[in-house]
Amino acid sequence: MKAVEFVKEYRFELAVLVLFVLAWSLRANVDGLFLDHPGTVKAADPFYHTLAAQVIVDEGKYGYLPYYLAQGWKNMIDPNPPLNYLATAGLTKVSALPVWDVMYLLVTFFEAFGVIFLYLLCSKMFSSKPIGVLAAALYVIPFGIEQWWYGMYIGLWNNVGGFFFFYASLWLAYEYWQKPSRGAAFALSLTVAGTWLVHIAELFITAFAIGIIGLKLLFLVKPFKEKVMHAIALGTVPLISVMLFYPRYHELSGFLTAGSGGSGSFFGWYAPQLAGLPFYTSLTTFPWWLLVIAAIGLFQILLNWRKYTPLLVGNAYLFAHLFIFPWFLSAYYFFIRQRMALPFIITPLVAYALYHFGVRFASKLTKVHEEIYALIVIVLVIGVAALQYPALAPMKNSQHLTQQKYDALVWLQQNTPPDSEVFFLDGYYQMSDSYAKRVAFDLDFPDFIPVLQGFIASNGTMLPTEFSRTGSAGFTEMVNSAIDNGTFFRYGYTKPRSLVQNITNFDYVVMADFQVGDQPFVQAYNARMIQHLVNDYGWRLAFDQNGIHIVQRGGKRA
Amino acid sequence: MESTLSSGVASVREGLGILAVGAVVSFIPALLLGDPLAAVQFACAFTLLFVFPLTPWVLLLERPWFERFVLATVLGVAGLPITFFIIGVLKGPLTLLVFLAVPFVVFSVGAVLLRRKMKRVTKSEHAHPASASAPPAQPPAP
Repeated sequence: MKAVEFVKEYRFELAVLVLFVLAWSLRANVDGLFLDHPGTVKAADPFYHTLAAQVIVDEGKYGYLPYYLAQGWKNMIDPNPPLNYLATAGLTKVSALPVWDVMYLLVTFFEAFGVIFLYLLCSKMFSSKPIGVLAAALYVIPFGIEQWWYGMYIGLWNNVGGFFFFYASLWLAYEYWQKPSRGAAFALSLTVAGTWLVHIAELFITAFAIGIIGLKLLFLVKPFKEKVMHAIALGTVPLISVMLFYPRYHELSGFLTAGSGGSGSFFGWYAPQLAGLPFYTSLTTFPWWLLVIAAIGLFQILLNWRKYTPLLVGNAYLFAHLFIFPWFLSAYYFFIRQRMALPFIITPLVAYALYHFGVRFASKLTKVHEEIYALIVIVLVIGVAALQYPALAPMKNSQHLTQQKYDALVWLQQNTPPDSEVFFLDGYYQMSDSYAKRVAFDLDFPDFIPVLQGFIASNGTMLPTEFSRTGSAGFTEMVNSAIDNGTFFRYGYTKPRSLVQNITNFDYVVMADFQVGDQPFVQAYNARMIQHLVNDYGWRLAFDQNGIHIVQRGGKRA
Repeated sequence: MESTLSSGVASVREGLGILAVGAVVSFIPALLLGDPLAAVQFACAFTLLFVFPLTPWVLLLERPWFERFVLATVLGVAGLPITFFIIGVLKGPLTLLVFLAVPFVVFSVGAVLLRRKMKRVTKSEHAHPASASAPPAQPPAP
C-alpha cells in the first residue's frame, strides 16, 4: 500500500500515536530527566522503588531487599509487587541508563498509554473513530492535572503501573466479551497477572471485569472443550503468579486495612473519615463545566442504553467501587487511591457529548466535513488544558537529592567498604540517604531541630551522640523482617536492631551545612561536632565538598 | 498492511513497521534526557525488550496493524517482566544475558509459529488456486 493511501486510511490511528507521544513527553517533562543525579525522585516511595530495581541490576537476582535497606540482612525478602522493578531493571541493564530515568520514563509511559486505551475502547464501544480520537485528546492533559497526575510525579509509581494494567484489562475484557477467543483470554490473563504483580490494590477494581468475563466463559462459551481451553488460557498465568508471589505478599497484607483508622477491620463505617485521607480526590476535582458535559454524555448514552450496555454497567460498577464501597470497606489503598482513574472513566462520556454537539451537530449545520470540526475540538481541548501545565513547573525544580548531595553519596558508594555503616546528621529527609547504598541511620530534620536548639541554649557545649528512633528518625529501611530460610512458602523472622543508636558506633558520619533561615548555627554545630569527633574519638575528616562533610571513625567508641 | 499471512514479505514488512513505531514513539520522550544518544539507548532497549518479542505473535492475529502494535507493546510490557519474575523467584539469574535472551527466545518461538502458519496458508492456496477469481459455481440468473 502506498504511503499516501496508508496515511489516508489510518489517519485516526496515526493521530492517536501523535497524541500519545505528546502525552508521554508532557508527563516525562513534569519531573524532568537527569543523567547525572536522581532528580526525578521526589518522595520516599520512589527512593525505594528505584533502589528495588537497582538491586536487581547490581546483584543479578530478584527477591531480596537491598541489604542497606534491611539493616544489613542480605536475605530479607522483598514483599512488594515486583513487576515495575523487574521491567525497570531489564530496561536499565540493556539501555545502560540510570535507573531513576528509566523508571520515570516507564511510569510516564504507563500513564500516557491511557490515550491509546481510550481510543481503542471508545472507537469500538461507540463504533466511531472520531469519538475515539476525541477521547484520546481529552486524556492528553486531563482537567485538574495537579491532582490527577500527583501519583505520577510524586512517586506512587506502582499505583500508576496498576492503572496501566487495569485499563489494558478493561480493553481486553471488552474484546473478549464481544468475541471470545483463546488468544483474547490469554492476553487478558497476562494483564490481570500484571495488575496483581505491579500493585495489588488495582486487582480489586479489575475484579469486576474479570468476574463478567468469568460469567461469559461459564455460561456462553461452548462447546465444553472450548470452555475448558478458554479457562486454561485465562487462568494459568494468574494462578502461577499467585502461587509464586502470595507468600511474599502475605508479609504486606496489613495494607488491606490501612484505611480503617487503626481498627484493623476490613468492614466498618468509614464514610465520615474519607475526606481526611491523603491524596483524596473526588468528582469536584474536575471543573464544573466538564462535569456538565459528562452528564449530558451520560444522558445521551442512557437514551441509547441497549446499545451501550457494557459502558453503562462498567461505569455503574466503577462508581460504586470508588464512591460507595469506601463507606463500609476499609478504604484508602484499595478504593480511594483508585479515584486517580476518574479522568479515564469520565472521558468516554465527555467525548461522546462533545462529538454530538461540537462535531456532528456543527457539521450538519454548516455542511463542513466532520473531521474539520473534530480537529478544531481537539486543538481547543488540548489548548485549554495546556493552560494548567505551567502550574506543575515547581515539581521540576524541587529535588530531594541535589547534585551536591548525590556527589557525597556516590563518594560513600565508591570509597567505603560495602558493609560500613553511616550515620546521617545532615537534615536529609525521606530516605534520600538510601542512595549511599550503605546501612544508615538518619536523624531526620524534625528530630534534628531539638538537638540544634539544645546546642544553641548551651552555648555550643551540648553535643549528644546518642539518638533514638522516632517517627522520622531511624534506619533507612523497609518495615519487614521476613528472612528467606530456604523453604518456599514460609520464612524465618529477624529481630530488629536497637532503637537507640550512638553516632560513635558508626563507621562514618555525614553532616551538611544547610541553611535554616539566615542563621549560621547549623554550620557552627557541624564544625563543633567534627572537632568533637576528631579530638575526642580520633576520627578524621574524609570528605569536605560543597558544605557536606563526611567524618570517618577512628579507634574509640562511646 | 491488511491481513498478511498469505505473504511472508508483507508480514516481515508489517513486523518491521511495528518495531519502527515502537522505536520512534519511545525515542521522542527520551529526548528529554538532553542527550540524543541516551534517547537512542532507551528507545532501542524499550523496543527490544517490550515490542520485539511479541511482534511475530501478533502477526498471527487477524487484527488491524494498530491493534497489533498495541497488543505487541502491552503484552510485551506485561509478559516479559512476568517471565523475569518467574525466573527470579525460582532463583534463576537476572543478568544482561538473560534480559537479552528471553526476548529472543519469545520472538523465535513466535517466528516459528508464524512461518508454519504462513506455509499452511500457502499450501491451502495452492490446493484451491485463485478461488477469489474463479467463476461462480452457478451462472447468474438471466
